[in-house]
Amino acid sequence: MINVNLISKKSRAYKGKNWTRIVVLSLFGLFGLYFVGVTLFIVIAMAVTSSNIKKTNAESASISSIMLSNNEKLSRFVLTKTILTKITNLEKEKFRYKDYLDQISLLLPEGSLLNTVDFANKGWISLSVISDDLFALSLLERSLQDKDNWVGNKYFSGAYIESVNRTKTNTYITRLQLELKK
Amino acid sequence: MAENKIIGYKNIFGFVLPDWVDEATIRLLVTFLLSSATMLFVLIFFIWPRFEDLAKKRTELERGIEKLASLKNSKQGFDKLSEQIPEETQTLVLSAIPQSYSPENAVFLLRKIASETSGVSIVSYKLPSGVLFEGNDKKATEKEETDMVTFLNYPIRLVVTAPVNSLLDFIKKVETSLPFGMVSDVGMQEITKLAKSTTTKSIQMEIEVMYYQALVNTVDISKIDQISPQDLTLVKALSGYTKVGTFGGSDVSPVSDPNGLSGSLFGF
Repeated sequence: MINVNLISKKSRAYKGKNWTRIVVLSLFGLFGLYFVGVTLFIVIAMAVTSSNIKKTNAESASISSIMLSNNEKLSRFVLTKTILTKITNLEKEKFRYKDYLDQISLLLPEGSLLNTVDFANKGWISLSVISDDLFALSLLERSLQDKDNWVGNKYFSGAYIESVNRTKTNTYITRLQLELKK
Repeated sequence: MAENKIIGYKNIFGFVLPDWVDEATIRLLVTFLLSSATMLFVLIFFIWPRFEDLAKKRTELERGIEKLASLKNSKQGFDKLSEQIPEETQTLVLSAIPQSYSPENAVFLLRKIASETSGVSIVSYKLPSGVLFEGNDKKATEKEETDMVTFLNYPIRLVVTAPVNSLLDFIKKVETSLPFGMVSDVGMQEITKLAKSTTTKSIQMEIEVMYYQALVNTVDISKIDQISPQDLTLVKALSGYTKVGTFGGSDVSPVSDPNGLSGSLFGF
């Protein structure tokens, strides 16, 4: 005679069945929720984005058509704006020789006179200055060494003296280079 | 023994499983697994790829919003144009860089300026080769293109005789007259030297005057900025310029369709 413990097996099966159901239901529920959530999100987001794109395009088209309907005014607007921008750029590119000469004359003390100016080297201005006597020359050197003349100077960043020569008439010719600010 | 095995085990979906395994649970598990597989299939092939599409659509929307904002900005500038710059002044600005260019008119303008400046006489002038007889072809020494407007540069080399001060006056007049001209090449060293030595003696000098022509291309109306305060300052300055004449036609070319260029070239 074979004795089978049916009670313990049933109990085990019952317990196992419960756990399996809980785990399977939970996992499936979570996955199902994710599926539904993601699907809804995509569908709604696509619909909302598409509708916004349509709305934006429609508004753009409406503004464009209003502007294009007044073609002459639009042409005037485009040309006026671009011409003004072009002239502003041209003015910026213009070599400001008059301003540079004015600034140079401000640097020269009494007794010193601008003799020659050469704008040939890009970024530099070569010039020679005639000083009446040694005192005027020292004034010129002091003026060039004076920091106040360079701090806040709009056009030049520094000066380099190349040579100082005494002439037969006891005047002094100083050749120097002024570096243009970029 | 064989009897024991038959009693303790059962066959579910072809699998031999212990007797205590619940068939309903197995069926539930299989149903859920199949459903999950179906959902996973849908996710992999239909839902997840849509995230890329959504990202693209959102980028498209952002671009659209940006474009709309700049279009609204352009529209605002467009609406305020007459308010900011009266129509008469607009015409003045347009005459600064006209849409037509005629070399003979340009020379005529320079001669007029010279005649209005005491002591200045134009000895000779040189135009870039091909300008006078090019007909309708767009020919200029240099082309500068922006998105909407192409600017053609037309240099004229002049040999001028005048006392130094008159010469400087002439240059100033050229640069403050309309159409807008730029004196782009001056022998400054010579001027400075002579300015020191004499103010009455006439000198002969070669200078280059650059005139410009504006040609309207295809216009992207969302890219037009509003008239800025800096522009208004320039407009004010241009109002003080002397209007010497025109290069020819004064009509404003209409904004063209995206396929073609518009705007006539020469005024004759």
